[in-house]
Parts: sequence; C-alpha cells; structure tokens
Amino acid sequence: MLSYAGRRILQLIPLLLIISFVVFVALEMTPGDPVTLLLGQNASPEAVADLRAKLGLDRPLVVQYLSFVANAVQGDLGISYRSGREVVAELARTAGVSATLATTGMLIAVLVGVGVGILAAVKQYSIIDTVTRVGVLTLVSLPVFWLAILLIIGFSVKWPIFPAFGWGTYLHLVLPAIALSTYPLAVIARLTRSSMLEVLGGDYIRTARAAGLPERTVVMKYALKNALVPVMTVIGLQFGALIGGAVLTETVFGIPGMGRLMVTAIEGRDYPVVRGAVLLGTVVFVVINLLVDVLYKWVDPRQRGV
Amino acid sequence: MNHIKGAWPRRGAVALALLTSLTLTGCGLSAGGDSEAAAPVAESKDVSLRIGTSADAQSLDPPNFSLTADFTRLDLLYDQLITLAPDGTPEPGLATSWKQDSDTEWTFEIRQGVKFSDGTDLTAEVVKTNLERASKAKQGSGYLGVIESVEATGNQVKVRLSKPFSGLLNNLSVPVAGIVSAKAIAEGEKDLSSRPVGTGPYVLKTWNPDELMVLERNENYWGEKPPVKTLEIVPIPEASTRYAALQSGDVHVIENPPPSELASIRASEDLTEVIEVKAQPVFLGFELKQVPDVKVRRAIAMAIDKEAIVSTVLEGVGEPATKGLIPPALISPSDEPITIPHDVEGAKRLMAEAGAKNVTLDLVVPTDYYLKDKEVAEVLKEQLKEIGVTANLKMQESGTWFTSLLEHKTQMYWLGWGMTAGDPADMLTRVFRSGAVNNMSGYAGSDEDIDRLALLPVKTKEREDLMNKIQRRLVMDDVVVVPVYHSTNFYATGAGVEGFHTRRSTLWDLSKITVRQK
Repeated sequence: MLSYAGRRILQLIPLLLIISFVVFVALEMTPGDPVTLLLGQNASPEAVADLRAKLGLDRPLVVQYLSFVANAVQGDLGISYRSGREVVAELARTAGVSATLATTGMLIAVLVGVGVGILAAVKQYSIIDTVTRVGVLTLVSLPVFWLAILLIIGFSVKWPIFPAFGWGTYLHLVLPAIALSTYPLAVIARLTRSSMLEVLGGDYIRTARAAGLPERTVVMKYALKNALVPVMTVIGLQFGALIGGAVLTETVFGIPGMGRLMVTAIEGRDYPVVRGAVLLGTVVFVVINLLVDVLYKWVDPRQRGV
Repeated sequence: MNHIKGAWPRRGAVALALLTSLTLTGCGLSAGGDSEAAAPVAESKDVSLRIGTSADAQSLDPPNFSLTADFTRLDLLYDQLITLAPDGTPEPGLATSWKQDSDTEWTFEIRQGVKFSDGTDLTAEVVKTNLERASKAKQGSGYLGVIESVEATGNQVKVRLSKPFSGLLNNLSVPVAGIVSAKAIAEGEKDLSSRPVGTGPYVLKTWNPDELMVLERNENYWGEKPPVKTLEIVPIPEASTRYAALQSGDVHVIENPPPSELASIRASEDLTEVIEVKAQPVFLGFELKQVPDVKVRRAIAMAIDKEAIVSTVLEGVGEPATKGLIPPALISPSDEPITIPHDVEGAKRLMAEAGAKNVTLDLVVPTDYYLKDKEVAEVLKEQLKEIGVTANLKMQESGTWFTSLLEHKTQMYWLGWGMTAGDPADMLTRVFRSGAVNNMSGYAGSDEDIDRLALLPVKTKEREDLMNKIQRRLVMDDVVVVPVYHSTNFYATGAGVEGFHTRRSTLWDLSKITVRQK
C-alpha cells in the first residue's frame, strides 16, 4: 500500500511539470498583455518596456519557464503582479478558506446523497423513490450561481437568517456550502441508488435474508459496504467539479477563497498567481484521488492485489 | 447515520467530519452569530459606515497603484499637494499656495503642522522625496513623468519640468500623487502596498484582502474631520449579492447596483439611488485607416440614437453625450452643441452618396467593463443595421479588448476614458495626439492645437475655446469618434443613510453623510 502511494506521489512530479508548462503556454497564447493591463491607460511606452523587463517578460518563454521551475522547487512561486504580495502567501491566505468550503460542501453532499440514495433504493418505486429521482434531476440541472442568488434572496433578505456574503463565522458557511453541495449531492444520490439496487439483487443478500438477518443489518452491513465502492470513486472525481464550482460560489458569496483569487488573477493577467493556483489545485486534486484510491483498496479486498 | 452498523463507513464519516472541523479551525472560523453585520447606529458625529464595493483594492502605495478601485482608498488615506474643486479648479491641499515661475518651473509652499500617521512631520524634503519617487514609479510616471528635478528649500518646493505642461496642478491632485511618509518609504517600499502611511482623513486599521478593509478616522487630521468614524469596505464582486446585502442591511451603501434593480430601488421606501456625474465619456471610435470614408463615419454617427440607448438600455444611469466628447461638467459649454444629431433618413442618403453598400465593420466591445456594454453593443448593431451597416460584434474579455484596441485590430471600438485629473486636455493628448500609445484611431489631425494646450493655463477661456475647437473637429468634422454617453457614478444607499455623495472619477464624498437608527 505504501509503495503504491509512494509511486503515485512520484507520478505527481512529471504531471506538475506538464501542467505548469501547459499553463505557461496557455497564458502566453491568451490575448491581453499583463504589462499594459497593469499600467493602464496612462502609461508611457518607456514605462511599459521598463516594467516588462523588470517582470522578466521580455525573456524567451523557455527561459521564463525554467526560471519558474527553478524557483518553484525552492518553494518560491513569485510575486503577484497586481498586489505585490508573495504568491505563496496569497495561496496560504485563500486555500484554507476554499478547503473549508469544499470540505463542508462535500460532507453535506456525501451524508445527504448517500442517505437519500439508500432510502430510494430500499423503497424502490415508492413515493420517496420518485421524489428522489425528480429531485436529483432538478439539482443536477440547477446552475450554481442561480441557486446561490436564490438562497441569498430567500435566507438573507426575505428571512434574514444567514449573512448574504462574507466569511468569518459558521453562519457564513451555510449558504455557500449548500449551494456548492447540490451538484455532487445529486450525482452521489443517483449513483448510490443504482448501485444499491444492483447489490440488493445479489445472491448473498438473498442468502442473508433467508438466514433471517434483520433487514437493517442486511442493508447497512452487507449491501451498503459493497454498494459504496463505485460511489467512492465518484466522490473523488466530484472534488474536481467542486473546485470548479467553488469559483462561482466564492464570487457570488464574496468569499475570499482561491477560486476568486484565480478569477481576479486571470482577468488581470496576473501570471504568477494563476500558475500558483493551478499548481496547488492540481496537487489537491491528485492527492484527493490518491486518498480515494487507497481507501478503495482498503475497502475492497479484490483491489488489493492490483 | 445511527443505523449504520458496518465499521468503515462510520469511520469514513468520522474522518471526514474531523477533517472539516480541522480545516474550520485552521482558517479561523468562529462559531456564533453574524457579529459583523452593520446595525444602523444612532445619528451622531461618530457614525460607522459599511460600503459594499465591486472590487477590492490591490495596492495602497499611491504611485504604484494597481486598479481604479485603489483610488477611492488612496483618496481617504493620503492627501495631495492640490485638491480640485468640482469644476476642476485647483485648490490648496498639502500645498497652501503655488506660483508658476516659467513655462517649466513651479514653486509650492508646503503646509505646516501636518503629521503623518507614523508621527513624522510633513516637510518640503518629504515632498521632494515623494515627487522624485512618483515621477519614476510604475503608475506615477504616467502622471508626473514630466517632472525633471525637485528642489527643497525651507518651506518651499521648486519643481522643474522637462517640457511645458499646464496640467501639472491637475495631475498633482490625483490619488496617485498622494504624499507618503518619507520614513515609511525609507523603511521599505514593498510594504507600502499593504501598510499605507499618509496624512489623509483616515488610517488603515485592518485589511484582509477580498474580505474586509477597516479604516479609522485620523483624529489628528489637519483638515475638517469627516463624520464617519469607522469605515468598513467589503468587496462583494457579484452585483445581485451586493444588492441583497443592501436590502438585508448587511451594508449601508453599495457601489454599482444591478441597473435592472433601479426601478425596485426607486419603488422602495428604504433604498435610494445615487447617480452622480463622473468624468468619463464612453464612445464609439473608428480606426481611421480601416474606415477611411468620412461620409460613412458621419452616417454611422447619424444612425446612433444616444438618448434611446441611455433611457432604455442604461435605464437612465448615464447622460447622453449630446453636447460633446468632453463631459459638460469639465468645460464651459460651447456656443452650439458639439454633436451629430440622430437622423436615420439623412444617414441613408449619406451612405448612398458615399456609394457604400453592404458595409460590414468589426466592433470590439469589452464584456462587463462599462455599464451593460454587451446590451449597448447589441442596440448599436440594430441601429447601424437600419442604414445598411452590419456591425460584426466582437465581445472580448477586458484584457483582450484593450490589447486589440492598442494593436489597432478592429475597425470600430467601444471605449470610455476617465479623466481622473479633471483636465480634458489629458484625454485629448493621450487619445488623439498622433504617436500616442492610446491613439486607437490613428488620428493625426489636431496635433498642433493639442500641443498648444500644454502651454495655456488651465481654466482659462482661451484654453477652453481651444479644447472646444478640437472636440468639434473630432466629433463633427473628422468624425473620429461618436460620443454616446457620459457615465455616472452609480450607488445605492440603504435605510437611514443620507448624504452619501461621490466626487468626479469614482471618489467618495463622506463629508455630509448621516446614518440613523431604524
């Protein structure tokens, strides 16, 4: 298991190199010049040339990339063009916020999604099942930003229970986490339901029932454990979608997270911040999926030899 | 979850919960109520005010600012040598008086008894350090690069320019020319972007980027102290959320409410809109090499119904540019309006005269940069269609858009030009002087007159007449641009808030504000 995890971590190195290079090239190809944007309408051509040289943007792309990699391995991701603050500090400031939001959103999605999925499967064709299936379809189709604004109008303006925006207390977390959780919740619920239905039809479940085990034990101990294996893979993948959703959620709710940092950075062509955020995002995504895979092997003995 | 009997799912859930609680503690979340919500306070001299803005500041170092959002904050934290009256007339700031010794030499008398927030005194030497620094700084050079040398003797500062420039006083009034403590500069310029040390009416108390900035009134301020004691600035990028925050009372004032909510703001008993002049014309420009026929350009100008655009698309948040390119607030009116009136039939005749058929022109427009730019562009397209011109809309993200314009990669462009320094000559020089970087049209027909502006003292009849002559040529004779509207500062205030005003170029005027208990 450990050597497997080690191997996966090592695979991260070439992946990060590739991703950072792609980001480098993509930013270079994006129209819009950081120096012009930075200096604005009143800049003199000399000032533009001067700043370009200062930021090292006048060097060939490969040279810029190599110096970026050389600094990055020493933990230096550069300085934000816009704010003049260290990129590492900017990421440190925002990553915790985004992690809290994403984890809470995922927690809601997993707890509710799995619960609803089980219920719908156990009570197949009942009213609960129908409501779940319709509900899941609705949630999957809801655009996050729209739902977010609806939640704000409902629970901050009409019934002022939660703050409309900002960060700082647990109350600030509720609406954004709910908005963020809907999509993965729907996906998890749907998958749990179908996976449970498949498992519940298995021979060993019939045997367990025939042996006179209580239905609760059959469902929760025998069926669920097997049904959740595919669900776990999806949870890992959904974290990726969650990172994307966090960009919108953070913007709508005015949360000082990494998604918002990145949007502002892209708009202002703040290359160092964009690169840093993409790299961190990649690491997080890979590590989460690694954790899921390790967990997967732990849960499913059939996978251990692979 | 009580019914789950299997061992691992419970462990998984516990682990996840643990992870959440760890990250929660890790980033300083606290349990409890919304202690930061702004409850309206009793009316008094010591009100606190919470403003929701569309963007956060980026850098608080005056000559190295980053965004226009920085301007409002710099304006509160720093003073400049000069302040501007609403009509653009220079008035004393940190300089009590000044005189122009020659075309290129000015002497300023520096105000006595002013202290920086770090306790140091304002002296002529400090001003010298600042002007020298600003004239070479990232942003400062764009305004003060013309300063060649500075000399401090006693209480006076003598400034020598590399060439005659009558707009110097105006440029010295811009937040970018804010005077910083020389001690703070010496201690480390890098820190200035997040730790401002000025003489302004406010001092920075806390700043969590993208979350909250708290300014406290400077109790040692040399000028008239503002009524607002604590000013909280919260960036809320999404307009609908900002509006909801205003409705729920989370903030007292918001910048740029969604224009679609204007009717509901007007209908509401609690909310008030604040729509005030801002020195920024927004116009349709032509790249002259690519649209060489002045008849076609004139026909396009005739096809555009400015009033309809402002009243329907902008919902009244703006002023139709029917008097000229230069905002009427900044110049004495010319004898006759400088505009090409809306006349579709005339435009069609002109197109026929020019022999122009099936004309297709690219129009590059930024997205979400100026008010409802996408919708305005759609209407422009429809209006041009009436005279047989097909506008091929290219909606570009703002960074891409500005580069397209600089590289002359379009036939028509949509652009606004802010006049922070309150001197329209600045725009004329930067946008319509041949060889200027920002001359997006490639125009070269007024160079001599534009150059003469730098020699004539500001706010004189001679200079204003000359500016009117230039803008008449730009708008009516050569049809380089079609001014469509003058943008306005747009704010909304909540229940019990009165007297919130703006000053030209997006600055806040907090001198008359009152906040009262519900």
